[in-house]
Amino acid sequence: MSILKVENLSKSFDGLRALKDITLSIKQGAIASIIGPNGAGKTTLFNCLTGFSKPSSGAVFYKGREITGMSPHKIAGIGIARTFQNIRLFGALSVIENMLIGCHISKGYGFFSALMRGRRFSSLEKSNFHRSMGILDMLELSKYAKHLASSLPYGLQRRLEIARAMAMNPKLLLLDEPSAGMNPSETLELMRQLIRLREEGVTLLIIEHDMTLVMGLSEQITVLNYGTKIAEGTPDQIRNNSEVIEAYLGSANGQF
Amino acid sequence: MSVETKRIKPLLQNIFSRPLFNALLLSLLVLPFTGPKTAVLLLFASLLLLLSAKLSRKLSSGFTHIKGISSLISLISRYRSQMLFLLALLLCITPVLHNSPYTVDVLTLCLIYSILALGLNVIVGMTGLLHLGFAAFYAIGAYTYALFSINVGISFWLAATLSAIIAALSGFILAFPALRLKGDYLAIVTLGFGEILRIILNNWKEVTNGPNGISKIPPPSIFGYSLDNLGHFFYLSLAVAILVFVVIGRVEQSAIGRAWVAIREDEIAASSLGIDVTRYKLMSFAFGSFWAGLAGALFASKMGFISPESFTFLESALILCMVILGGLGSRYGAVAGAFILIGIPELLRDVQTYRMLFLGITLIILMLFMPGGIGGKRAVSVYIKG
Repeated sequence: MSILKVENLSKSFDGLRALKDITLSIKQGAIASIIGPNGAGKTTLFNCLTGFSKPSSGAVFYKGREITGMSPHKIAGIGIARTFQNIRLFGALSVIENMLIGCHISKGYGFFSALMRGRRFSSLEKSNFHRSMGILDMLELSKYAKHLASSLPYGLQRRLEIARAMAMNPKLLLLDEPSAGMNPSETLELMRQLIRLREEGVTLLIIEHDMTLVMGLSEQITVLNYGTKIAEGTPDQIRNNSEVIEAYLGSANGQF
Repeated sequence: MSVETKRIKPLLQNIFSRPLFNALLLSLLVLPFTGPKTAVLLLFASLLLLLSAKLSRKLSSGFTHIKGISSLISLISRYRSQMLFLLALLLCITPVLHNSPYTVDVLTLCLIYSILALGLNVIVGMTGLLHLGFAAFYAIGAYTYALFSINVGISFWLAATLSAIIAALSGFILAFPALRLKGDYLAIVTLGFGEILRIILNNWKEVTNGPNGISKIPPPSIFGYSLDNLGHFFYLSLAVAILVFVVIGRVEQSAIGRAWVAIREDEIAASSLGIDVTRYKLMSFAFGSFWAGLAGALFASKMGFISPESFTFLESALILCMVILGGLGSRYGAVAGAFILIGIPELLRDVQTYRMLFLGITLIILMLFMPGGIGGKRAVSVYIKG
């Protein structure tokens, strides 16, 4: 069963056609990747899926329900979380505060229970706190809970952004270059943790340049180039696809 | 950066870091206005202040191996806004001060401005929306209270609640179109709103009595017992200010307050986490304006007379100064800022004409030494019991 379906999605910025007729389907519980050279339209695709840009045409379905053109917070509310290519943490806040803001959609109380601080408020706040700590534990970040998010080293900031997205209890998690700027050992650790997330029942869709991660984790790879889908398949199929090799390395005919 | 500035910059820093030079500069600056006696006094006072500031910095860096001292210093600098807040509270409950009606009057004014600063802190400090027309909501509260209590004759409590609600509604109505704008543009719209409201109050003579204002506003009463005594009114203001402080604190330490802070920090990240940015901005505007309305009602019933002159742009700027001086987003700081900005000009009444100059100098010094405001270190917005 597919959790996410994209049908003939196109997006143009004035004259530039960033995405052309993308059709895509992600299986529930899978780890899928999107790869492609710089400027291929990967992040634009993510923005269209999460409501940050409105597609020019085409449709997006999440669990059979159309979500095309919905606003970002509504898409987040139905279970699609994302991270950003340039990390967007709340740097001036502590790690645990970042996590609690991630719990926003499951806050479960309104203005007046916050004023009254009744039993319902306390138990919800407590459960969100413990859930946050649990996720931090899982991603080996709990000892930094009280640190400022901006004080963490780069790799941990990337990981915290994933943790914060996980606080939303998403069914589908879109990761935009999660291993960018990490060294090989950090990337291996990230891979291990992404497998853990999958075991939690989260479907992962990853934009990535690091081929160790892409080939090692994905069950399904989609290749974009100049806004069009040029290939799709398992890691083995992609590795041997001549069009993909051409897009990455240039034509085999040796033309300049 | 050119070579020239590269060379000059460290030189300037070197000179300005010398307390003596700064103190001399300061006293020379005020010499023509104050005469030699005050200037010399100021020289010693500022030298003492600057030296102690430098000494404390030296101490905290030099004595890091002695745990007691360094932790004491870091404790003081971390909780400075809370300590100032306590000082303000102490000032309010010191009975000796209450012998003089003048002091009680000033303290009451400090409390009313604390409520205003706390309200504006929600909008500017927590949600990060620059608001330059806050006095308009203060005015709406004051006029609502005056008109309802005179023309309809309803009690203080009902009229004050009504003032707050109508101010909140106006905040909501202003925010609805204004929140399409961001940053500077939003600031200009709020500035415009403040001016429009003042002009309406000035010209709508049938209702507001124009520039002559409204007089004979009844004082508050509890169970038919009128609080026209200055001291009674002071305790009423104190109770209301504490209530506002607690209520805002509770909202701040909840998912709602955290959503506001998230919007201030990064709107895109906030919306990716499921926060309805527009809704929370509206809520912040209405919630902040609510307290302005309440403060307006207190002000009107304290003065017994209001006119558009009390609600100019200068008033909005003053409240904004309190919030910035207190440190954006800090409740303790907002109260401390209100007490400083209302209290210091009163303490300086002796210097008469030059008190505003002194106020300006104090502000510059404070912002130089605490660029993030008094409460620059933000309190954590997590409340977990047990």
